[in-house]
Amino acid sequence: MRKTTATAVLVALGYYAGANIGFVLRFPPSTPSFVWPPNAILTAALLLVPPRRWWICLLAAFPVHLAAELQVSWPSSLVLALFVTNCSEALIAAGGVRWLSGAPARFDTLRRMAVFIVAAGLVAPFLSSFLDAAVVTVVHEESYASVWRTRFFSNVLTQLLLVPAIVMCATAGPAWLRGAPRARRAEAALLAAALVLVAGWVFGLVTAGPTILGGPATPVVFLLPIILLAAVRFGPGGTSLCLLGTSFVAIVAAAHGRGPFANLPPAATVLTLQTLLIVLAIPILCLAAVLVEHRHARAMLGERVGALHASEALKSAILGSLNTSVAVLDRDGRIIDVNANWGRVAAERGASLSAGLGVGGSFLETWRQAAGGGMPKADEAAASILGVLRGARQDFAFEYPCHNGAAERWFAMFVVRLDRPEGGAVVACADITARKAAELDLERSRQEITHDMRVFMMGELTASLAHELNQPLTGILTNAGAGLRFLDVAAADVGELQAILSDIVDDGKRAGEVIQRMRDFLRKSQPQRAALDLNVVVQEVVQMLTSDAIIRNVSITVDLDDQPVVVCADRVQLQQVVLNLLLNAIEAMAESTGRERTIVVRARNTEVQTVHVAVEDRGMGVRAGTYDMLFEPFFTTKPTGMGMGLAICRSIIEAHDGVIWAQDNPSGGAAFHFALPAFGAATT
Amino acid sequence: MTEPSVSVVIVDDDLAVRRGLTRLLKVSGYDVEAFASGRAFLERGDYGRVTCLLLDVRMPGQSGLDVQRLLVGAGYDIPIIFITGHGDSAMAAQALNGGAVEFITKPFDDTILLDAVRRAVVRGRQLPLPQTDGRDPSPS
Repeated sequence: MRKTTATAVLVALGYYAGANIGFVLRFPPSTPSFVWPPNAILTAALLLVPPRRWWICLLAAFPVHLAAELQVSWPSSLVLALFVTNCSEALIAAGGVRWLSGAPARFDTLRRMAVFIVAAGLVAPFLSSFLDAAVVTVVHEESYASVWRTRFFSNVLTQLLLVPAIVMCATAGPAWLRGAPRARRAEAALLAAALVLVAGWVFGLVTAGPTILGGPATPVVFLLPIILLAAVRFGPGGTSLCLLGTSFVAIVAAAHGRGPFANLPPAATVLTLQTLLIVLAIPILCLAAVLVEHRHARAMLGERVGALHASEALKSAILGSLNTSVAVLDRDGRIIDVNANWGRVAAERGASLSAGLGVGGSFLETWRQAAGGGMPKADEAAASILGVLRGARQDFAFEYPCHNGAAERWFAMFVVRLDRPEGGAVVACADITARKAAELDLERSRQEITHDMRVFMMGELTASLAHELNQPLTGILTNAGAGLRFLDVAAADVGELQAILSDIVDDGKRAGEVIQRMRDFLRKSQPQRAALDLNVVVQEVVQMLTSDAIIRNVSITVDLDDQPVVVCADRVQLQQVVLNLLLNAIEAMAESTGRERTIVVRARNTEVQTVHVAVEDRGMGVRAGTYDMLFEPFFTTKPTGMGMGLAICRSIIEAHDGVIWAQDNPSGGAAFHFALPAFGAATT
Repeated sequence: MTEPSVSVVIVDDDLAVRRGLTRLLKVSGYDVEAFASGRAFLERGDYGRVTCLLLDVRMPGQSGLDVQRLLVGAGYDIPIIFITGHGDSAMAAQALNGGAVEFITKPFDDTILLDAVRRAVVRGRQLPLPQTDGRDPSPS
């Protein structure tokens, strides 16, 4: 509502002031004004407000129009008709500009300026002047053509000079007044002063007028530098203000009978001045618009270049900040760019290598040379890099050691195809020495623990192994003793002697097997994977534990698959897992009384290319919530336990791409399971 | 042949040991019966006719010591020779307190065993016959 009122008030005030200025700028006896500002004010208002509020502007102008024009003692019908023609011009102008230009209130491109000049500056006055002339001739009995001509030129000049000035003042004026730098204001003031002076001089207000140059109209060209300067420095708004100022001076001069056209009749003077100013205004307004457009384009380009620079700087800062070495290769494997870390690492490796690893060096060739120099797997690496460069593969990862003097360092290299039409690749190298050392340490300590564990379990088993050896030895000794005594008795039964000897041989073998098992168990060797039947492993371990189980009064039931349960694994390690699970199960039942002291060991082939082993005890079970912790190192529920047994089991099973878990045994106690990929199954 | 038939009972879970001992004692003139477990022996009954008992200590189910305890509990004082893989002194003391005659550690020389059996037989002969009060030593 406030906005509506403000619009109405402003339009009314402007219209009234414009009408009065228009009356001042008249040349008696010709009726029409030199310029008629109300039309321009109405046009500017319609350009500035959206069409749905145009009615406010027109309604606000109406009473003011009456108030202003009725001063002049014209017939009221003429006054009303003139309001209609004024409105029609403004509507045609604003409608045309709005229809053709995306931003009706802006003159910052040549296209928008051209649209304004054609629609508002030429077509609207052209059309409305017919109506205008018709109305005027009815009252004044003048020649229609002459009225149309005066009206047309007056209207054209009004629109061209005033509309851009008003629109610019309304849109950019307040901000300019508030925020323009002092230098800019001084420049504007100087320009205005210069304009008044030069225009005053040219139009003969100051002196009788310049006579140095040929014809009477010639001095007008002296205005050009100032108007052009306004176009260059202040754009279309400044230009139209400047032209407006020139018009004022010219009119004042003409009214005083001075200036270059002073010798012409008044009507001709007006027409000549109007023509002059129109012809001057059109190209200069266009020039001003072109300049603004150009300036905008340049600023935009500058912004884009700035953004590009910033993004470039950001990218190189990111690459520079990485402590991974990054190099970009062209399609032939030559290095075309590296980050800071790459340069540092290459420099550390010595001059001989850094030559090939700098920008311009061939990365591919460096690897080929390394292969020639006997570096293991370097030929594979070179081939894979070539594969990435040729597009045969998307990426390639490789870990390799690098000797720098005495120190050995490990690097992980990742080569990925550069996704651009020219091809190429990005190489990222990270120093993984610390990780590798940790891995090796872990592996070493795992092996040490495994060995310690075996020794420890050996201690555990010594007693029962001794017992196991005692059995066959006792058998041998008693049978041999019996045999000797048979021979003493003379009439020896050959059949009985054969049975005795065969028992002795069996016992000897049995003792040998016990010793062999012990030797296998104690041998500390690198893990060696081979096809292995878990049925056999389970049987061996159960056999090993028989006497231990007997001592502890535990029975072990073995439930094996009919088919061999084959995995690719290290025999000793898997024996250790099964042994550990069985020892735990035996221990779990040590305290349980009253229950059936039975352990069930199962081995099965499953349908999903995995094998499954379970050890189920009937002990006290596992406290709820601790199943996941069971396999953590140093987690133990036993008063004397180290907490390493199940952790080692897990590390062994995981090293074989398997999983190990524990759960409640449905028939009471706990059940430990592990699953491994079946032999020949695709491992991931 | 030289002696009247004397009944020696062997209880050992290991078949090879059982067979060796049986042969050794048979060829030495004893009447031998062998059992694979304490339970099997206790189910036999008629312990009065047993002159000497060879008991393995470590056996599944009832151990040699369990068998001894049951027999003593039922009033039988059969001379017992324990055979064990371990020279466990605490176990030996307990066994001997229960009235055992000997304690032999595997593996052993055949003469040592035969001497022990002979001593046990002699001792068994000196003992009065057990009073059979009808109590059954087999576990309930």
